Amino acid sequence: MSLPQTLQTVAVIDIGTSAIRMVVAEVGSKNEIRHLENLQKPVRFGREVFTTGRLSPAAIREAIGILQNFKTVLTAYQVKKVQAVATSAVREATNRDNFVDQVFVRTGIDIEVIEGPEENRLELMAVEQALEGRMDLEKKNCLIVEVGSGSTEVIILNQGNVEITRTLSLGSIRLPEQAVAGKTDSAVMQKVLKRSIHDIVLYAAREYNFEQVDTFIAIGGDMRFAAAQLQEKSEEPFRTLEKKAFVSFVNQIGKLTPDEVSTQYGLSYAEAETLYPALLVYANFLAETKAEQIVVPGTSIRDGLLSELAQMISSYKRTDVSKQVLNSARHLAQKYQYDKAHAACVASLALKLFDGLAADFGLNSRDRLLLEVSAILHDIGVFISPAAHHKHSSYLVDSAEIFGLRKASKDIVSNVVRYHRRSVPRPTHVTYMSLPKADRAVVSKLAAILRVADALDHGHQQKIRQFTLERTDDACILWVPEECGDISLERSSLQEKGGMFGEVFGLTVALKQGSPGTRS
Amino acid sequence: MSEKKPESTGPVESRFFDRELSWLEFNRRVLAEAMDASNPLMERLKFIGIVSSNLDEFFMVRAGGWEDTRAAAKEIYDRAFQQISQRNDCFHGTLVPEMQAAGIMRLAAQALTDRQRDYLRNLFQKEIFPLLTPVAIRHEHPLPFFTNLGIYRFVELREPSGTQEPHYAVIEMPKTLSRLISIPAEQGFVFMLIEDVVALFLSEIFTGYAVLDQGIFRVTRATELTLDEEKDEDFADIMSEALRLRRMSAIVRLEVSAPARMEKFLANALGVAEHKIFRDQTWLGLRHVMQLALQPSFESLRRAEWTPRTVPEFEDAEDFWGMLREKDRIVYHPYESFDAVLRFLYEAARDPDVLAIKQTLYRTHSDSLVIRALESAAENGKQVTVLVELKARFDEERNIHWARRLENAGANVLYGIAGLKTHAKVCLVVRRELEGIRRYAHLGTGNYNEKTASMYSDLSFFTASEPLTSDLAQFFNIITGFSQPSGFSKIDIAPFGLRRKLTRLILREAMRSTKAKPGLILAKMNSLVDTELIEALYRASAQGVQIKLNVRGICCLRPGVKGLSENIEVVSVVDMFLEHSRLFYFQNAGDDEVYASSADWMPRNLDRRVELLFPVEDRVCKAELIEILGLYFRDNVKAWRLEPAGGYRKKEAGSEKPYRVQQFLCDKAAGHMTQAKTPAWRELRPQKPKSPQVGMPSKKDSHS
Repeated sequence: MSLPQTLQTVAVIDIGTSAIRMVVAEVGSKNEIRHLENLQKPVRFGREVFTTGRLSPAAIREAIGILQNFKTVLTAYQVKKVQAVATSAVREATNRDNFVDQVFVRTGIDIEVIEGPEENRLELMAVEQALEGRMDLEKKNCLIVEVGSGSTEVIILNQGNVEITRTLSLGSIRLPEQAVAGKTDSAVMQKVLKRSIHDIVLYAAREYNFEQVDTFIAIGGDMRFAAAQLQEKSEEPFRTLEKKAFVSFVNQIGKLTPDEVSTQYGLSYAEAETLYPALLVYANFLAETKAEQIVVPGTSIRDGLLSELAQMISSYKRTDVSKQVLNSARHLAQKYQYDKAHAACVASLALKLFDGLAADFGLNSRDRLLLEVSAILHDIGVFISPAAHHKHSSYLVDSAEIFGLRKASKDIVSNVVRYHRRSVPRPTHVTYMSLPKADRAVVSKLAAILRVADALDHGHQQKIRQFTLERTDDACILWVPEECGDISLERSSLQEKGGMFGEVFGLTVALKQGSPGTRS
Repeated sequence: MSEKKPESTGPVESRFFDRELSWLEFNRRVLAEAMDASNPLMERLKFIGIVSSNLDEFFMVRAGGWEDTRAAAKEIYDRAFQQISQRNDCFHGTLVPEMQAAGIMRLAAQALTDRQRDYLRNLFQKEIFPLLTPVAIRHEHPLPFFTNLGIYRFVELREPSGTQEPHYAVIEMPKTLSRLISIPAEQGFVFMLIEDVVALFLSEIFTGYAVLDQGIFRVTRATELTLDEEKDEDFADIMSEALRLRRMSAIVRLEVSAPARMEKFLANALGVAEHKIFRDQTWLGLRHVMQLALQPSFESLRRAEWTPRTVPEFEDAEDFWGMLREKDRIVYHPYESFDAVLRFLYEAARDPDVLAIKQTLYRTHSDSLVIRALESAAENGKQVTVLVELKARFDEERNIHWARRLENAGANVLYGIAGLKTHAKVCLVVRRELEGIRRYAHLGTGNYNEKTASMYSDLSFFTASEPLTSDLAQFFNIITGFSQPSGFSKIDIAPFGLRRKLTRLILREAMRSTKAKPGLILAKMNSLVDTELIEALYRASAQGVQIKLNVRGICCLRPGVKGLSENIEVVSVVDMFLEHSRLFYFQNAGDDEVYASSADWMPRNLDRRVELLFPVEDRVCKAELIEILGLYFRDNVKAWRLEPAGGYRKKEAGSEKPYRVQQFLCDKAAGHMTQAKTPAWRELRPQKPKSPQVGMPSKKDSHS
């Protein structure tokens, strides 16, 4: 019997720092998700990568063995669609490409190594999934924290908008050095963690005041475990804990040795060992906010992956992350005191031009989002210095986190802003040349469009806010209304910056006043 | 964990009965069935056989642990030997005369007629002699290896020349031949033991020698296996090695019938201490009496054989899976037939929509229908995963054989978690349906063995309910090593959370117990040894919880002691079927809960085995199990009550109406159900190609 189109069995695999996990699930046409199997198997990637920087051959073999077993389960359910991601430890391993390749060759499982911002995006999807219809995030200021073994992810959501995202090199097996030294002493660990988390908060406070946070959302296995201990089973897909109860639970765990935790709570030794540090990190973040409760969703990034997969299959109600991506980009631009009006104007002009060209030049919706992000960020390098600011913009983008953008996408943005003025890409430009071929083409197209849009607001006065596009076989004519007044400055700027457009699209670009058919 | 010392409100000994002595008490109850004149003769002989093989196993498995580490070792030997003597008294004193009256006769050599002697000579020369290997015992040579439970003829010889000192020789009785050699006779069943036949013709074996004297003996060896499970090698191969090693283990008992001089020589040569020697002039090791009980004819001396009744819902189901989807089902064996379980497997094996079958197999027999179903499922292209437990005591050789067979059919055969026996009995079927993937499970308290299923009382539970089957999927991922435990929503497994769960259930009952509404625990199991759980039961008793335990075998809990356990009652039912199901009931202040499990309350089961505990939540099933649990306490024919001093006293009907629970359940089953016949669905047919159109396949074809 072939399955009706409405149901598909899929799987997501998450290769983390201390475990490899898999969920096999059924997804429906309305993005319903039903877990069929949950598997997890511990690995010791963290301890290797965080000390040697590499995954040892033994660790790789172990992972392959685990994934081969998982593959057996996939075969049982005849799963065709598998989404596999790797996070913190693999991400940081210098031999990660080798790892990804070996796994693919031996198991046929294609792993995508995802970066912090991508992880953040999946976490947010997971949180939204758990809270959907039960808590309105648009009305709250949320701090979302996930303490993993190798990293801690922080998202600040202001009235539903992503304000700040951070991936911290701090995890339950990756503590500040002083805390590791005093590992057995919970008081020392608490002191050190408190200080380092407070430092992080102080630093972040330049952008966001933690005291505004009224809702503390904690995700992650250790937190789910704590919640299960403190609260009876609930029908809700999340649990709500009182701050006081949680803090006293953390203190209680702090008094026990890992051995005792393991026997009293039925955890494996490895889980018991990392429980206290993880909870302590949560507790310290909590202490920085005014939240009196902790919301603990029952979901994880695997649920985020699943709902993404479900949406991809069903094409039903896809979560639009672009809004959050743009929020995050604007927040970044704000930090570098950008000219907001100029950025908005350039973005709107660039998108208009994009929409006129997309169909003919093979541009898609992701490219459109990247163009908009690039338009917002193109001038942030001015914060460093106006001279060569396109280069400053480029490296600022490189080192920043933009919510929801994976590394490959951010690389495109970084190159687009790099080429929004001056030199066009050349074979001697290493960062450009290191992009995949397809991405290089995207960079050229987007940069060419961005240059034109930037030229139209050369004076940063938003004289031109819109245009009508006229396409001929060999030219693009941008008609702007007469009311714009004198646009000679913009026209000359376009002459100077429009060359790349001509080269990339094979079309000359001209700026005219009036409307198509009239002559000015 | 379990070694935790109990709180001191008295010496430890007084809080717990000794488990070895408690086991002997159990075997005494089995012996009582052999002595019970109201049982038919053949039934009584069967019990003699069971008592004997129980004792053999007791020595093999337990005695290695008593050795010199316990002052009580000698006491246990004494008590065990006393029991053997009682058994012999019963057998030779009562049953042998009755056998003779019925025409079952063991002949002595001098009673043979010439014709019979000729017959035996012929038989000896053709069939026995070629299998005999006489071994001379000489001082300068190491002793030959005596196999566990082997029966040896032991002789003293003098060389033809007569010049040298007499010396000894031994001959092992061939294990491939029956111990009972039947002899043609006018009427009845006449037999000799094989060692007696061999004795007749010693001169033909030792030609030229003079046989001065002779005897027989049997050794029992400790057989607990120890394996280096750290080594990452093919598990099955290590096992075969271990099977060979098993023969090397220490002698824990010597049963002998020989002149004092010869016996002394043997005991010295084997290094067996005096208290381990049992002298028996008549018939060493009565386990083969079982063969007599199984002799055809003599129907009048037998109890009417019970034929398990088929369960109509299972037998008549047109849409088998639909029947299971409708509601959870229980089948109580041996009153109800194991066919229900077989049908589950056979439907799974041939249903084109079934994707995978996962199953644990602890003990099963070699030509098992269970194995055949799994084989055919694998051949039909289903993913079949079988977790075979190789260390099931005494069954390893058989297990390895069929494990290989399953592998050849294309099943994934796994050998369990090193260091932990997989004792859980569960089968999970993954099926693709219109509404999505659905999983069906069979959970049991007994092994997947259709033979024992007609002799053991066990529960089969069938379910398609989601949280439970999802837990079981996870359970399989754990025992196959694919995953590690995270939390279950319904089940608990040993050695992870099962002990904690039971403790919590008992203590919760204590907490919720009030004067006005005392708590109630009913529990049925084979053995109760675990001190931690016993202490929890004592605490619950102290809170006024009424605790009714139905423990068939060993029970280390001391019931009915004021200030310790006055609210605890322990009964043990020993009757025609072996009580084997493990069922637990907790009143839980009115919100009652019923669980079934593969685990006894022993440290072994809770800490060193993979076991399952699952709730039975369906209202009808629950009510049925609560009723069954209660019935056992009404038995006043085959039930024994454990007394505070450790002895068992048989319950008497007195002026009440006699009530025998197993008989009652038979009658009930016979009243409700139809006689079993070989069902049509058991025929194995190749899977048909999948029909091209979308939709549920017709269920009709499964019954043609």
